[in-house]
Amino acid sequence: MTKFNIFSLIKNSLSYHENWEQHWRSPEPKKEYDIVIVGGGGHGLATAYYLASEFGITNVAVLEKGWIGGGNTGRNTTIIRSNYMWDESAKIYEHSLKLFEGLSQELNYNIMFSQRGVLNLAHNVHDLQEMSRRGTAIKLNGIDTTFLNPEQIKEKVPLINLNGRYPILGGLFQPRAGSARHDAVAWGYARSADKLGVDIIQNCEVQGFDIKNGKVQGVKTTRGNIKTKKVGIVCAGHSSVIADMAGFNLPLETVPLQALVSEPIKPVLDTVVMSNAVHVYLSQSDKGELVIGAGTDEFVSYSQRGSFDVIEHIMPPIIELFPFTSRLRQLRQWGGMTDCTTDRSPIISKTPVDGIMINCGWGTGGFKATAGSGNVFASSLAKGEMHPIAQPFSIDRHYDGYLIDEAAAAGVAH
Amino acid sequence: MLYVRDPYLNEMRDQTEYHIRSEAHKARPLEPSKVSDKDWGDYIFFFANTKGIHFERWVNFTGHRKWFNVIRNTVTDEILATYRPDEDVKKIIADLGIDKKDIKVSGVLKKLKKKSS
Ligand SMILES: Cc1cc2nc3c(=O)[nH]c(=O)nc-3n(C[C@H](O)[C@H](O)[C@H](O)COP(=O)(O)OP(=O)(O)OC[C@H]3O[C@@H](n4cnc5c(N)ncnc54)[C@H](O)[C@@H]3O)c2cc1C
Repeated sequence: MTKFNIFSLIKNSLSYHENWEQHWRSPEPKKEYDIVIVGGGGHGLATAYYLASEFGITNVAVLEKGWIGGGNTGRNTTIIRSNYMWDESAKIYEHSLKLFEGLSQELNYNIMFSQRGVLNLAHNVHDLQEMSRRGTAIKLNGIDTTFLNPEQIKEKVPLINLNGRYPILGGLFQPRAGSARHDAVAWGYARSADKLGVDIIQNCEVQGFDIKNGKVQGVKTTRGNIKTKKVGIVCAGHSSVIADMAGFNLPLETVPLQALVSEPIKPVLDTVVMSNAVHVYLSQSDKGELVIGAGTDEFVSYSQRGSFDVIEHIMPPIIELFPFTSRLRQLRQWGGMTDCTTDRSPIISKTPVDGIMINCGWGTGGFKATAGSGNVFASSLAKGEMHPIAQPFSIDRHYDGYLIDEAAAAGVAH
Repeated sequence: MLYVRDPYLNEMRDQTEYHIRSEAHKARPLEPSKVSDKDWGDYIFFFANTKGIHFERWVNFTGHRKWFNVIRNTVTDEILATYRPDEDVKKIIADLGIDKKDIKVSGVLKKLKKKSS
């Protein structure tokens, strides 16, 4: 594998960049693997990478029905942060953020991780009180966070309207938060996993499982049957469909979530701004587009597109908070299918089938967890026991009542 | 955005006049204090989340505020039928020619599915 550096760049420029080698192979599936990962999104690829790099398990296949990173990984607004309120969430999201901080170096792949900070806005006294509770909890977990007053916010985001219909009374800022290039995260993990021996098999849809006496024996795919004693399901919006094939049910509903980007403009915003109260979050991409996140539809859908009224709903507050956007054209809009739990926390868990573990329920906010989720899921698959950080996220919390209720704390902030 | 026939008004209305409140035909345990944590958890948190034919509950919140059920294909978002809770769902399913094999639900219809297969 070519090491990406200034010398390989110069060398390849001499042949007009036409001779870069393939980033990963496209092997035929083998008859048997030690571990099969179903779903080649960021989380599945990260899992495979850590299985190989941390646990030396390289006889691993990632089966992807389409192309890798074509699901929610390639459709999200790429916000990364770890300022969640509950201890369990703080542990996993902070674990992930720390891994992201070293990821470009570790993978020798520029994931364009930019720690430009994330700013949450408070518009009324209740928001301020909620923010001080949440911010204090976050600080107690040792995660960087600061309270900003309106003047400090204006200094950081000069184009914001402090005194409009949604007055800004304060904000919570996480300096180490930011964004990264989603495709590069998937491709970087894929390239490094492939190099360590993992087979990445695209256009390979899992259609069933071979289960005997409650134990998994293999998977049935559009490219033949593959034997394995261990399966990790990482299928986001399609998790319930795959679980159904293995004969169990999940505490999930799959709903569309949308995003849109504007035409590119000169730099106007060098942080991420979010407001839970009026459902706004936006950032500016390196290309200059404003990246805007919309809300979810209320209904279950696998159509991979959302409703127009959801977009209509977010535009007025954006114009109110950033009046300059009123004449900005929106260029593209799309949807992804997000797998939502009731408490808005993920599921990383054993399942009723021996040998099958599942990692899902990241819903509207799992891109930031790609590294951490893959890391703890790899450990769980390798050892057959859930990693301590993953333990609270078991399916069983829906029976014993130990929910990790991030619904309010996470809010809009995906 | 969906366009739906309201079975009370018997006319086409805009989806934004309604809330969609999850899966239909899930029977609430009659005596919650007597069911096991497992059954209660299943009732509250687990969903069929069907890719395909989905049964769901809608409620109007801008006018008559009544509940009804909708059968929708979650792949195409096409609405196949809308009906009041007092209507005979088995007849509606038969009239639509839906194969029982294609029905995945976590509630009452599960029994219906079992009986027929
Ligand atoms: C519009 C939008 C904005 C978002 N914004 C953010 C954000 O700002 N920050 C954040 O942290 N998160 C965000 N998210 C959430 C985030 O995108 C997801 O939580 C995360 O990307 C999930 O990654 P994944 O690898 O689990 O899933 P995916 O990338 O969806 O991968 C799952 C893969 O499984 C494959 N698959 C499905 N069925 C089968 C089968 N039968 N056989 C084989 N393969 C199969 C799919 O093709 C898919 O590639 C957003 C999501 C959306 C839709």
